[in-house]
Formats: sequence, C-alpha cells, structure tokens
Amino acid sequence: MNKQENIKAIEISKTLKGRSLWVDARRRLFLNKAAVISLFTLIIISIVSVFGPFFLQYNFSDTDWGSIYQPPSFETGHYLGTDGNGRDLLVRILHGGRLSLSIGLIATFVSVFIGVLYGTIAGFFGGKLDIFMMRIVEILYAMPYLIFVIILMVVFGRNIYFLFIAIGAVEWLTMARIVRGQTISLKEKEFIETSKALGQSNTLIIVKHIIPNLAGPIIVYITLMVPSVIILESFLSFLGLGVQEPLTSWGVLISEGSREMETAWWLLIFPGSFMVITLASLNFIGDGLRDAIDPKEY
Amino acid sequence: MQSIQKNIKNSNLLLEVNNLNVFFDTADGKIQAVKDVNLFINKGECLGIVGESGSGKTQTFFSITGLLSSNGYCNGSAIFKDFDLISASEDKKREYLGKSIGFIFQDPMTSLTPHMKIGEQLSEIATFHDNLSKSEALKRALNVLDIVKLPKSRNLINSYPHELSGGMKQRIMIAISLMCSPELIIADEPTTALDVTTQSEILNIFNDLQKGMGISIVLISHNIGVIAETSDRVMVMKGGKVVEKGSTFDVLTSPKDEYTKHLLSCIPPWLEG
Repeated sequence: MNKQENIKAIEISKTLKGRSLWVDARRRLFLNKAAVISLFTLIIISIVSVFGPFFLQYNFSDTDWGSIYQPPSFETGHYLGTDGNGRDLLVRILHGGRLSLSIGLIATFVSVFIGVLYGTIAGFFGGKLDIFMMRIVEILYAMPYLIFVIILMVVFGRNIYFLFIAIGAVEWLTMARIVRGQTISLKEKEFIETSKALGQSNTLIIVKHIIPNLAGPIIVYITLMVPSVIILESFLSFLGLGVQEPLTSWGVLISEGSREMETAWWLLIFPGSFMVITLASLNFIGDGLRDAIDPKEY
Repeated sequence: MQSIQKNIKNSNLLLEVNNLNVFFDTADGKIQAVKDVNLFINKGECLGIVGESGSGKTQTFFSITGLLSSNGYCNGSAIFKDFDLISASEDKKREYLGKSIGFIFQDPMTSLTPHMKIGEQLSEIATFHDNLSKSEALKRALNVLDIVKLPKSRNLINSYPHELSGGMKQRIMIAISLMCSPELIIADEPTTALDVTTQSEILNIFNDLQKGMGISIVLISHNIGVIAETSDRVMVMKGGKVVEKGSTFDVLTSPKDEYTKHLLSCIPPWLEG
C-alpha cells in the first residue's frame, strides 16, 4: 500500500461508525411493515387516550338522563353514542384506554423488574439457591391466581392499586423462568468468564454483562406480556373484580356492552374494536421485534 | 547448591505453586485433572506450559485464578507475592485478578461482551480496580492500545467486538489485561484461534511485554513452536502431571522424558531447523 492509499484508508475509516446490535435490530424492525403500522397505530391510540378527553365536550362521569342509549351521531356530539346512563361512550373508551394501557404497562414493568432480578440471581448463582428459588416459583404457579386475586380484593378492599399488584404478582413467574434459563446459558459464555478473570464482582457481572444481553428476549416478552395483562384486567373486570364505577376500563366497557348488545350494539363494538386493535398491534410489534433482535430465520 | 538455587528463586519470585491438585465431581465419580503440580514464576520471566488437550494445563491456572467450573475444586497453595490465591476468599482474590494478574483466553471471538463498545470494555476494568473516572480510564485505554500496536483512534474505541478481526480482538484482550499494569499475565492458548501471521504478531507483543515492561508471562499452548519462540523456561504436562521442566533450550534440545521426545518428534521435519 503506498502512502496515498494509506491516507485514503484512514479517511474512510474515520467516516465509519460503530454499528451496535440495536441499530441493526432497529433497521430490521423498520423493514417489517406490519410492525411499523402497528407501532403507529399503538402510538396514535395512546396519544388519543391520554389527550383526547381534554378536547371532548363531555366528561366521562357526567350522566345525562335526556340522552340514554343514543346511537352514534355527529349532531349530538356523541360520536360513538351513549350508554344506559347517558354517558358519552367515546370519552369513556378513551378513559378506559388510559386505565387499560397503564395497567398493562405498570403491571408488566413490575413483573419484569421482579422476574429479571429473581431469574438472574437464581440462574447466575445456581446450586441450592437456584433450586430453592425455583421451587418457590413452582409453588406460586400452582396457586390458582383467581382465588389469590379474590382474597386480595376481599382483604384489602377493591382498590385499583391492588389490581396492579395482583396482576404483577402473577405475571412475574414466567418472566423469572425465562430469564433464569437464559442466564444459565449466558453464564457459561467466555465473556462472562473473562469478566470473572478480570476480578469483576458478581453484581457488576449481572448488571453490566448479563442483563444487557438478556434485553432481546426481555423486550420481546414485554410486548407479548402487555396484551396478556390487558386481557387479564378485562377478565377480572368482567367478573366484577376490577375497576369500580365511575372509573372504567376496556374490560368493564366490554362487560357492560355485552349485556346490552341486542339493543345497543355500539356499546360492545367500539370498546371491543379499540381493544382488539391494540392487542393485535402489540402482538405484531412483538413478532417484529423478535425477528429483528434474533434474526435466525433469515 | 540446593540452598543457593532456592535463594535465587526467592529474590525475585512472583508466583509459587505447591502441591496443587484439581478434582472434578462428574457422573462417573471424582476425577483428578491436575496431580501434585509444583511450579514457580520469577519476575519478568516467560514460562511456557505445553501439553496435549486434557493434560490439565489450563485447569492448573483456572484453579489458581478461581475460574474452575462449579463441579471442580482444588487444594494446595499458590503464593502470589505472599498472598495465597487458593485459600483466599472470592472478594480478596478479586483485588488481584485483573489488577496484578491478567488472563487472556483462547478464543478472542467470544471473550468480549458483544453489546459493549471496545472503549467501554477497556475502561471498565480501570474504573473498578483503580477507581478512575470514565474519561481518565478512556485516556489510559488509548495509551494501552498503543502498546498492543492498535491505532489510537476514536473509531476503534467506539466500535463493537463484531466489527473487529480475530487478531484485533485478541489484541484488545491483551490491552484489557494490561489496563491496570499487571505483574503477571496468564495467556491460555492465546494464538490457537488465530492464523499464523497474526499469531506471530501476537507473540511479538508478548515478547515486548516481557522484555520491555518486565511483565511475567505464563504461556499455555499445545504448540511447541510457539513455546520455543517466546518462553525462557518450559514445563511439559501430560495426564495432569508435570513430566518435564527446565529451560526451554535444554528441554527442546535434550529432552529426558519419553513423552517430551515423542512430542518433539511430532514436529514435521520440514519445520525443523
């Protein structure tokens, strides 16, 4: 190589930028049309749910005895109709969306936090500790969660925060198992051995070398867990164990709507479609992320 | 004669291993992988350990640095500057590992954490051993890259392991173990996964470290050529035992043990000379 070529090579190398696995994953994700469309849909639904109620003329708890069971109409301003108490359905759906989505996010976050911590500790240290910790998980698995939730509600009263806790307490078990399995396979990798040989403490190894490498499966699992949590909340609300009036969630709205679907179809169709679209989007994003982060099938 | 030799040994002794045994609990019962190994390493010296796969050469040093897998355990002593590495607690041992004792693994491809930038991986070790700030550690990392003959570029610091070649990664590994100016570097088959030209570059770096910086090096290899090129003394292992040790020249020119002779006769004749 002569001098000029050398200089050229150096200049080229200056313009090269390190491309992390995440940049690569993002590129693959954005090539997936279903995932991109779902992502936009989800963002729009979230924004509308959070900010929408401020721009509507009705309040979610205002009853109007003059307009009971109004079908959707643009003239009255009840774009999606009203329910049996004359409350505007659109506002209630958006309010319900706030609640359903936040339950989905918070309960998922709580369960991921507990699950990741628990799973990495059990998997990394192994041995008796691992056996002990995983037996606890199995015992909790064996407990029927519905009874657990009912007991929680009876003892502490029907409080929305306990709903978060109840769902989080059920969902972390699967996360812990997944994370434990991944940790066991990761800790045998040479770069973990290298970190040990360099005198890094176990805490540092877990935080800096194991958990970031678990991020792929964890993120995928989160996107699949949020919908399952939303469904769980709907199910509990459907049974009357969830959110209390006048607060509402998609589950409550669907439960109410199903009772009146012969006379007022809009009370079931609209909340139902909001929920289906959200869940479908989350699942498509989850699928897309899985392909993007772990592109083995290509 | 014996006592004089001992005195010379003591004056600049760095690591002394006595009666080291390593066992593994397996499904077939207890297996002894290393049998009564004694060795010493002086300051600024390069000790070559040679032997076939499964001869216990790696496990000897894994046990000293506490890297044995969970079903393995060891007894004996390994005194590193008045400190017994084998009986020490994990926490105590960590103060030495990575700081005074560097370790380089066989496969550079998998030894670097894939999601971290090279710069982070280099500076990380200095931040927890020497309490340096991130920018100080990065400054030191750039200097260390110079020692292993990599360009001091921002680019390299900001790239990820998968963007580098095998030889570069192995140099990064050497650089990482140099971050806290160690006194001893244990290199476990550092060139096995690399091609021959890269191999000689890496060995040159080891030579520079030993001759120029006075770092003691333990070179574990199954390649006699590699050992002959770099080490002052050599130790031949087979089946967990040390079968022969002595200065590299003596062992290679006039081997006493049958196995060593056998090993030397395995070198193809066209490579001799």
